[in-house]
Amino acid sequence: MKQILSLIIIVFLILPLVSQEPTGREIMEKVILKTGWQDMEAEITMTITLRGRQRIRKIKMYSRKRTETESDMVMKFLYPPDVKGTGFLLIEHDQGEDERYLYLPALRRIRRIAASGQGGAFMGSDFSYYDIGKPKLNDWQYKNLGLVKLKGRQCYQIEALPATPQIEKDTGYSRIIHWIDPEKWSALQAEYYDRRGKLWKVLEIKEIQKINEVWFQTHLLMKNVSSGGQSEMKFEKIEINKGLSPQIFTQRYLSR
Amino acid sequence: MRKRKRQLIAWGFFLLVLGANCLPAAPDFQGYLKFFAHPGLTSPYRFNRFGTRLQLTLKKSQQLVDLFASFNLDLDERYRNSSNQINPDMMTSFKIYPVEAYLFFHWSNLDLRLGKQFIFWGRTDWINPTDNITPWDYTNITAEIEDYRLAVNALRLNWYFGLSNLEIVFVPYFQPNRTGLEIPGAQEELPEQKPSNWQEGLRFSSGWGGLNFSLSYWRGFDLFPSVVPENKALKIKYYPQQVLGVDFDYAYGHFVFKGEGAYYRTQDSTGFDPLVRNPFIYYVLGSDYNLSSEVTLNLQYVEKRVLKWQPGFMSPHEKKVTRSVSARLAYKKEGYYSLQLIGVYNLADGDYFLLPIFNYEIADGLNLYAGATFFAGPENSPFGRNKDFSRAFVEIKYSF
Repeated sequence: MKQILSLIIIVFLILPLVSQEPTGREIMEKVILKTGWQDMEAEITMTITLRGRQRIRKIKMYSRKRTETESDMVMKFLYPPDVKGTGFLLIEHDQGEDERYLYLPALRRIRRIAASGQGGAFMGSDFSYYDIGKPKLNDWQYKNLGLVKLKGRQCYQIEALPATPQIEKDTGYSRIIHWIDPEKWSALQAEYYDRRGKLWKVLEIKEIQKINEVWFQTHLLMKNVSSGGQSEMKFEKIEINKGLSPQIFTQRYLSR
Repeated sequence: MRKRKRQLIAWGFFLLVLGANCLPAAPDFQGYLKFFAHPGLTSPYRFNRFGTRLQLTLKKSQQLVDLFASFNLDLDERYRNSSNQINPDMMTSFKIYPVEAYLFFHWSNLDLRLGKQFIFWGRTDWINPTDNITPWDYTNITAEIEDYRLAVNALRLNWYFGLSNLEIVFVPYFQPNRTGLEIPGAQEELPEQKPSNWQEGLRFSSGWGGLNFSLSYWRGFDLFPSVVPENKALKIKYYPQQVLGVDFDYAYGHFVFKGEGAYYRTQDSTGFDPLVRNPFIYYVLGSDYNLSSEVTLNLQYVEKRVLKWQPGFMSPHEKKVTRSVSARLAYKKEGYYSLQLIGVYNLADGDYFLLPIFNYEIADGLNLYAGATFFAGPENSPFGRNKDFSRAFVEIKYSF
């Protein structure tokens, strides 16, 4: 009788815990739709290494949330001198295609670029255009694979599968595994699998900083398993909620 | 001409000094040094060119006004053979000239740019029927736009409201295309410099549901010359024209659809003057397509349709309808190398223009460019008559 009673008590204690386990989507909602910031300004130094050759790119980045689920981003290149002044503008839309514009100072023209092709390398790095933008929650179907330990920390392991074949085609990813820190609601690591299901890239988050009560990834390392190359992105001079003017996120500002 | 050049240099220098002294912010100096060789490809190699260029650019910004001044210092050697001579006539020159020099005032909804500047209208690739402000130098097409487009002295005002923009442009002095046209004994006659000959235009741009579009109007002079017999001599003239244009772009998936068209109202409104171009419609329709993340293809259909066609009153070289196709294939391995192949093919005459450009990034800021400009086709076809300007180019450029 005592044993049955104990079992009932244990079941009743465990059941709420099991039912409280968040779903993959709930976890990713907390990661992607972070509250607490409306806009952000930072300088990025990107170091690209391939076959012993190193390339450095310095970028000024502005980002803002236009709505709860839509963002705008502007990037202006500061270094090297031959690409200085090059600008990239991304205007996200929940409904319809995102708008992407590239300003090339050598041509003195803004060129609209295709909304798809997000899997393309960003400035020759191992980060794709998709990797550097804010991921869209609805582009993926998530599954919580449970708690695992990564470098001594308990993390949720989340599997993300493309919601449609078009997302897979656009991003080049057939599967992404995220390691999410439940304290900071930020990824610590991610594995990206190509369209044949082979491991393609591994993202390591080297540093996360708390700025204005929001955790931001400030040092990222993307290792390309297939090419042997790697790209490092360091964020500096980060400023949050400065009240950036909406005029920054326009073609007018891009060509200035 | 020389007086005008001096005026331009003085104007640029004035802006430079004014900006450097009036603006409190620290100036930003940048530029490049490049070595170039442009050997001719068509015997007797009329236009061989070798040289060194130092470009210095000064940019100084403050809250209300930016100063931008860019000057080229060219040490140039040109080997110019006339078709009947065997010995080359070598000219060495050292030139300093402004590429662009302007003051840029910016208020919350208004931008004003004043000085020598590039102004490009239109959205299609390479062929832009609405783009009649900044002339071309067809004798000097290389990897860099600064070589083959010629900045103009202009006042440009942009007023931004909502998602729209109204642009107003004034160009006081007319500057034609450089076509390399040489007619022995013919005298070039530029439009008289008077206020009624000022060129002016406006362009309204906006966006709706992912579609970007513009409507434009330009009142100016034909950038291409007309050869006219006058008093038993030949004159090279530039006739007035008005251009009413429209352009758009729209992105869908891997495509960016682009279009641009214009109605040219020339001085010969009836079509009975064989020496002046008839009114015509000129349009381009095409699309960019991302073949992969590194390869982009642009294909365009181009048509020019002459209006008020009067048989017996037309120039023998004129065609009622001219159709062409253009293509640009670009492969880019960012940070390492890129390859572009640009081509235009006229369907009626079979003449064509080809521009392959290879760029290899040796190190950060150090680039090698190699390519060629080919003009080919029958003697009297638009590209065929320029075949003497066909040449290769190799350039090493260090940007700082």
